[in-house]
Amino acid sequence: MTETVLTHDNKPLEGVVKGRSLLDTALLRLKRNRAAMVSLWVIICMTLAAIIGPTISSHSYDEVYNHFVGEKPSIGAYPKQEQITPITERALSRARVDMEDMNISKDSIKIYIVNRKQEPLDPRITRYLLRADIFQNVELEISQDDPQRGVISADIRPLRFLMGTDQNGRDLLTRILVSLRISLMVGALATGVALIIGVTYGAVSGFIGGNIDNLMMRFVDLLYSLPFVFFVILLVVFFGNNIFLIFIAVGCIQWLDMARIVRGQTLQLKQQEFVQASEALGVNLSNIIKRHIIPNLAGTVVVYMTLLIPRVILLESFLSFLGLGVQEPLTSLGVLIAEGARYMRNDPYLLIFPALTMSILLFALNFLGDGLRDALDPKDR
Amino acid sequence: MLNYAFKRILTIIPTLFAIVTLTFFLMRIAPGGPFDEERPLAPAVLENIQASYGLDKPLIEQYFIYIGNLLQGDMGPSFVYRDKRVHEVLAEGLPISITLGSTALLMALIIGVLLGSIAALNQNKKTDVFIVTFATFGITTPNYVIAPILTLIFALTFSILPATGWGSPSQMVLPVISLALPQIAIVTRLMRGSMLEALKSDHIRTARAYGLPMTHVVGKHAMRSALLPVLSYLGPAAAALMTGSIVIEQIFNLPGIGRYFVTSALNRDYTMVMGTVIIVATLVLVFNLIVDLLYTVLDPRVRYD
Repeated sequence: MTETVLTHDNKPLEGVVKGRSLLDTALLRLKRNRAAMVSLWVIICMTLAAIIGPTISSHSYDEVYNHFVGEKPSIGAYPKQEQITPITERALSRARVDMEDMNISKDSIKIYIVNRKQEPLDPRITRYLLRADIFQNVELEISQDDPQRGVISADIRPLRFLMGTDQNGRDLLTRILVSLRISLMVGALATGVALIIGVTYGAVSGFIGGNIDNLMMRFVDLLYSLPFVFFVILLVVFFGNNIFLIFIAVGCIQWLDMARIVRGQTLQLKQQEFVQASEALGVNLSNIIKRHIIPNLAGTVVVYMTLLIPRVILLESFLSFLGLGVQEPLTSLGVLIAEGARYMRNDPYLLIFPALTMSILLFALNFLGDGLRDALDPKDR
Repeated sequence: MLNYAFKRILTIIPTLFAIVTLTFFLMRIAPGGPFDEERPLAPAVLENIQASYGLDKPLIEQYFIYIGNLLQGDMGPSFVYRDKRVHEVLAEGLPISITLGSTALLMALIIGVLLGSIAALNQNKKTDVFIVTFATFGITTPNYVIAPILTLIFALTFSILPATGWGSPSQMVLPVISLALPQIAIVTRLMRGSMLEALKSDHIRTARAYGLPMTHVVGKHAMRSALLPVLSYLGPAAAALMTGSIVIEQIFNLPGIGRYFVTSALNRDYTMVMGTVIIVATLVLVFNLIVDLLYTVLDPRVRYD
């Protein structure tokens, strides 16, 4: 804050300390709230993980490893030593060649093969080994004196499944990262839509007042009494399975609280002396809204936003849990939890990791929302 | 009071009517129909079936026929559960859902109020911190996470309770707890907040200055005003329990009406969708009315004239 205060003739005024703005005090109070700050960092980390995680992960969320179905979480690399031989044998039998001998070292393999048919070896058979997921740099050296025989040398590709793999052999960690991305995107999308509609509706209703205000608020009351979840299910039917359209629609329903809050605030602000003063000074309407109304609404709106995002994320996972949300192979936390619940008897980690991610995310969002409310609520000073 | 109740009942009717109309048309505009199958029916067959259900008439006419039948208490035939009327199907499942929901609500109220009061009376002590942590955990963990985890612990690992089914009291334990837990958490937080506020108020200080026993002060005087926010949460709680029961009934394989929520909408079972919407909307609206009326009992300052 090195801004200098200027007098009316633009000379720096000396000996004046710049006052703390509302925002500064709010940020200061937020910084003192340890739970909220920790939550903020957790959310930042999770968002970053969601954005870059799936890209830097060595697996793709829809990549199926047929040989690694339902592997338990481990730090060590796959394939384990005892897994290499059966996988190699299967690949070789697909390639219709017989194995004469095999040397496995720590990270490479040498296979001596002979063709089953009385024909020279086809160099293209290396692709059968590549398809087995566990090899890379596969090279076939066909013997000079007997084209039916050859030596395949390959490096073993280390695969790591830190959180194990699911029942289709897909890396759980990558899938959790992708679902985090979907959940956050959907949360932001629906909240954004709710924000735009709610703030506009509430501000207009509050500003105009009178009968129109009354009518607009009765309409909100009517929408309140609709069985909300039912309508979301109907919307799913309506939009097919396009998750983004559904959540734009959810945003179109979730604006009700926002409209009410904003209307209440606008009504209050309209009565405030500083608004009346600027009206008396001849400031036009759009400038009053820009300079006075919106900055004063911002706090409430931000608080409400942080509390709405977890609700939307919960709703998304609820829909996905019922099989109405995101469709395979794309995934979301709700889908992962539903899948995990199905296999929890033998592979509890399939349930525990997604459930934990979900809980931590919602925990953090709720704490941050509470912290922001405490920081921005002027009543509480 | 009676006048107010009567007025409120009158507003329920147009609201319900609006809901029915909206659902009817939204459902009909949605692509697909109840007789879509993997192998499409022959056009003549499809026409015959549609005619027998009255689906060949113009939409507006169908709407008025439906409303007419509804006013006579007939929700029409189900398109999927052949040979059954919608109200028959719903009548089978409703008692189960109501039992599940009301037990969970009761449990949420009693435990939530108790825990909230205990936390408020021990503000900032270990008990309080523990209860608040529990409540935050409950709020952030949806019941489709709680239910499988409870099943994993109590049904699969220790085999104390059955994992699925309905009928015996032991089969009720897990579904009711999973359904109630998030609500317990919310009620606890609400109760703690309002109890803290109530304990700070003047009349409580006066009562304590008179030397009234603490149980009396809390149980009679503070409780009364502290219960108000909890009471106004009951409406949303009922709606949340309804939503929760969709998931819970699916996880524990219970024959309630929750499953029709999803399946009927996906199967385009028009009459069934209408039936479930009407039941749920009526329940929520009536519940909100009861809550509003109860308000006057607890807070004599609130008068409806």
